[in-house]
Amino acid sequence: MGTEGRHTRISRRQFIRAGAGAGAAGILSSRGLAAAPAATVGPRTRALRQDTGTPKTGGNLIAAGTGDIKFDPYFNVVPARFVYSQFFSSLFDYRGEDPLAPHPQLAETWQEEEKAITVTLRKGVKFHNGREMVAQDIVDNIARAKDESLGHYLFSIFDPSVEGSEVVDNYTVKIHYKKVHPVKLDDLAALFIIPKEAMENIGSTPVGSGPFKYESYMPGDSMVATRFEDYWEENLPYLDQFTVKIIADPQARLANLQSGDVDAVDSLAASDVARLKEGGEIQITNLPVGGTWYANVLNCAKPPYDNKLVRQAMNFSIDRDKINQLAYYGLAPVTQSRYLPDQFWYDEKASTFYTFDLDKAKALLAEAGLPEGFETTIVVSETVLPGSKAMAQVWQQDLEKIGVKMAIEEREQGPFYDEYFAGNYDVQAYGLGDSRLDPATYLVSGSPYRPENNKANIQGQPFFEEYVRLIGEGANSIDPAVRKPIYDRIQQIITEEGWVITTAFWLSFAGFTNRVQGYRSTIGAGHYFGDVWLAE
Amino acid sequence: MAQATESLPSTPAMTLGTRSSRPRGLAARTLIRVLRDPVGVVGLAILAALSAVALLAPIVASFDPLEIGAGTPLEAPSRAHPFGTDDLGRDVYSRVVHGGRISLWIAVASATAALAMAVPLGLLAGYGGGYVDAAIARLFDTIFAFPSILIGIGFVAVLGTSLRNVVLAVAIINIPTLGRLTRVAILAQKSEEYVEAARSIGASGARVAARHILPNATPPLVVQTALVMGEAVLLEAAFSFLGLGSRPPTPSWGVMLNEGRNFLAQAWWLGFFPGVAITLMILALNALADALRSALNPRRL
Amino acid sequence: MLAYVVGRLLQTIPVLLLTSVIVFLFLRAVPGDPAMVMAGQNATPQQLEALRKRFGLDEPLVTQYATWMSRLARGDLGTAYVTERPISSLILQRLPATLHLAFGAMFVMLVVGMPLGILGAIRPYHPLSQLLSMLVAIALAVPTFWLGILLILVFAVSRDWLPASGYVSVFDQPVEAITRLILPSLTLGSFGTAVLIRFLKSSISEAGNADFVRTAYAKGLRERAVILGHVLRIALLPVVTILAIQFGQLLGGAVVTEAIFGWPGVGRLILDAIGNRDYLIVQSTMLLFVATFVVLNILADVCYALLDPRIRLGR
Repeated sequence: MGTEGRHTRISRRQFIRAGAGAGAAGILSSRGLAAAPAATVGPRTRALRQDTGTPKTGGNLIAAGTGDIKFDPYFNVVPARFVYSQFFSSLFDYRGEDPLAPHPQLAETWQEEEKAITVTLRKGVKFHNGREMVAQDIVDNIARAKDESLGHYLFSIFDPSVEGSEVVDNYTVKIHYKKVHPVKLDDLAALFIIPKEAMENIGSTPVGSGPFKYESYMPGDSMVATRFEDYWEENLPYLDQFTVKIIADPQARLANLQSGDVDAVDSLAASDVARLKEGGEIQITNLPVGGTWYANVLNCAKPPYDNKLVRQAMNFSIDRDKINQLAYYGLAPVTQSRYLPDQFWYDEKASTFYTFDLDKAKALLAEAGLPEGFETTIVVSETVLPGSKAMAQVWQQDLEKIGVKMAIEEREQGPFYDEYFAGNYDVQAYGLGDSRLDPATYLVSGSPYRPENNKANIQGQPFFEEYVRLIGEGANSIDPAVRKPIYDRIQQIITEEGWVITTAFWLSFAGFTNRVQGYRSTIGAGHYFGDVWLAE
Repeated sequence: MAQATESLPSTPAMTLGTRSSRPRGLAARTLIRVLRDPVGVVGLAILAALSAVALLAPIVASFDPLEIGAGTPLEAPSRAHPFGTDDLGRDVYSRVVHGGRISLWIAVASATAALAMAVPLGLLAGYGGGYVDAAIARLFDTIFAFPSILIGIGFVAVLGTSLRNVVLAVAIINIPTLGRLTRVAILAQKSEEYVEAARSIGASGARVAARHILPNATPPLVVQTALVMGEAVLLEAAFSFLGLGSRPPTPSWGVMLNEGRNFLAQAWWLGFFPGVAITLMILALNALADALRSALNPRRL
Repeated sequence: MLAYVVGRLLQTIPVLLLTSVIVFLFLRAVPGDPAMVMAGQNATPQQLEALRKRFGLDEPLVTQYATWMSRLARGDLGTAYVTERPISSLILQRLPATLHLAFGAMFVMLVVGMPLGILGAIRPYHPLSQLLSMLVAIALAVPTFWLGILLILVFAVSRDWLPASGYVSVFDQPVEAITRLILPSLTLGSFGTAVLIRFLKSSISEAGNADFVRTAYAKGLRERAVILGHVLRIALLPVVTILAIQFGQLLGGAVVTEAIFGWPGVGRLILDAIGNRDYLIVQSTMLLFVATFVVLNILADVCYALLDPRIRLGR
């Protein structure tokens, strides 16, 4: 459905958490802060280049949506990336200085303990229906997040971790956790606060406390939102109106952007980004590096991928730079692990284990008893992961040189997921990741990584027991310094065992006309237009 | 999409072929007539040229169609790459030439599969009569009423994207037309005296159908088959265009068109040349069908 | 006549029932369900199960089908999974765009196809007529979507003459709507236009050879009078049928044209719904497509009979 799939919602940098809010005094978090070095952000193209001049009030910004919108923010569907943050706010967001670190939004101060967090709310925050937000609303939303019957993704985040929540006073809420939980703020950043009275129809009629108020929606055509006069951030938003025009075809979206019929376009194809950057008439931004990464998953239940040597051979046979150049137009920073060198969780050993070395790959295959190579199939989906078909074709040619005949099967999203969930694949392109930086998150929810319901079928592999134990240990503290060595080891296991062949980070590019001012991308749930204005 | 013949309420084809004639003599006479018809000559010539290029693809092509980096990516047409190169630096000319094999194969296989499914159904309907006929007629109505592109989408969605499934989908789409043609021919023949005669001397139903009735249903089916082949090429392209075509890196024309669409403003040649190739192939098949139709038209006898 | 119409309408019932069963089973047979598509690659089994329950997909197939049918009987098409809106309103919102396109294409067919077809028929040996034959042959062979792309390339990309995409209602901004309709209508209408021209040519020349036309000539009537008075009347009859069938085809062909031109019509709705596995949308829209096609066919036959007294229905 979009470049980065559904779960690109959040990045987690809980170790920087306490520095974020004015007056925030975490009990344990100060210790955590000391251990965490300031991480850089990556290519600093997240802000538009023309952020000059005084913000101006008024105007209608039109964004091009990719498909039908599901308004319930507990489901984070890609076509709604333009929508959620305009209608809804959460306790934390990523709009502070560091776009990867949680920053208080509806929260004013907070105190974190190992198995609880107490949050004091900002006063005077109004919902679009006119009612003031109070502590009970947080309790109601936590309860909704723990409601399994709705089928949203937040259940798998909140139910295993959160015990329950209670109102301390009208503006203070305390959330209790079942066990030590290191990523509380990032979890809460994903929880958009909906007034209880609007929950029933939230899927079709959004009500929140964001800068814009829902006006109308014609599925397949357009959605209109207008300025919310009682928005809690003073003087914001600048825009009078925010419109999403739904244009399903990528080329049509681009044409509309270039003609100025729309001001913002999301999920740009790599080929178009490369060209637009040359043209210079369109401003291009991207998400901070680290959000989404592309990988290929080897199914360990399907021989010969039950053999570590074969998996390593596959890793040695992939030319990441060539793939980046040909399939991603040189726009996707290559990687073989989840992190970049300037990031806190980066482990050098886990990130430099492989080189592109076909001789080595061939030797490993011979050692595994497959000197002649073997036949296999990779399943890709351009709808889910644009560029994956080109990636596979580049890899295919190199594999052929070591005798591995890889067929490429292209699927639309339904069968793509179906075969993946059923374990009915040899190799499958994977790119959804969890977009969250703290390893405690993607290792538990990312389908090829997680110990339970693992979709790469690593259960039964010799390393499995140690791997599962380490994942448990890593989440059993909220002190990054304690956790770091554990995660280094886990990452080394992932790399050396080689069942996830990480290839590159994907930055999810958006394009804006030159009149759009003040936009900054964050790693959170989509785009925020509350502080964006339009030049003449 | 391409339902020229389905759209015509009563093509001449549907009314001909009711006279008994010796099929072999008919075939020879038809061929001569087609060759005397300028339309038929043009059709056959294009078809022969395309087939020759496709069959000799490895010789005619200047590069391996799958070779990534045969040139720099997105090179405009030049002497080295007469149709330019695609986003992975592959030679578009070589890919178009090899793509012809796929389109030819699709055309032949779809038509064969369609005939294999439609003719027995048509025979059954025409012969069985009564409830059997009514049931099969409703089945034809139902298939016919579905927009063909959606049948294809559904089909490929169930069975996965592969050329075989595209072939099956095209075949199913064409069942009603071919089936009805067969049925009409049967109904016209059933009451003919020589059929009754054959039956009266103890020939079995199947034998009568095979020896006497089917040959008379042949002329309209031949015309229609040529059209089905053209439609197959078109539908393969349409399915591929919607992302439901052959598996990469197989250079089918439809797949190339689909990929070229993303480079419309930068590299028109990616989609242009495969499009010309498709058009030529369908043009040739349609022309052949026209020539066959007039050659087989009884009013010309 | 009435008996014929009633009979034909009764015949559509099994067709529609068969359609509903086929579409229903087809969707369930397709790998991937709405829960998977909504939850994505990291879904947990619990989440998938909860979503399936929410959509009623945990029920046995027979129950699901019965529920759908009984709702349909009450005129309730159901609720979409993604947008959580009534499907009837989704279709109604998309229908105008598709109808714009279908009528635009019909307009092209009539305005371009009719005169050219007649001219081609009465002056078959004129050089322009030969050229026309070639153009028709090409139009019948060009893939629709490729034509659309070429048109965009020529008129929207290299020359900024016409917009490449986007729909505006003719009732809101008539001029803008028409400029936006030009390219998609040409794309969608080209094939039908070619069919029409070809058909007119053959039916007019056939009618021209008919006995009563020869009689008219023999009576000394001028050519124009003969053509207008006799030939056209006969020749135009099949056009009714062609138009009706083409209109039905246009609705289906619109799927591709809508995809190329970013047109928010029913075709797009169905394509997206297939991708999202929004079962109820696909089921109901397909049924409507098929019903429209069948009814148009019946209407065409009835018109045909009304216009030509020689034809008697109910054979």
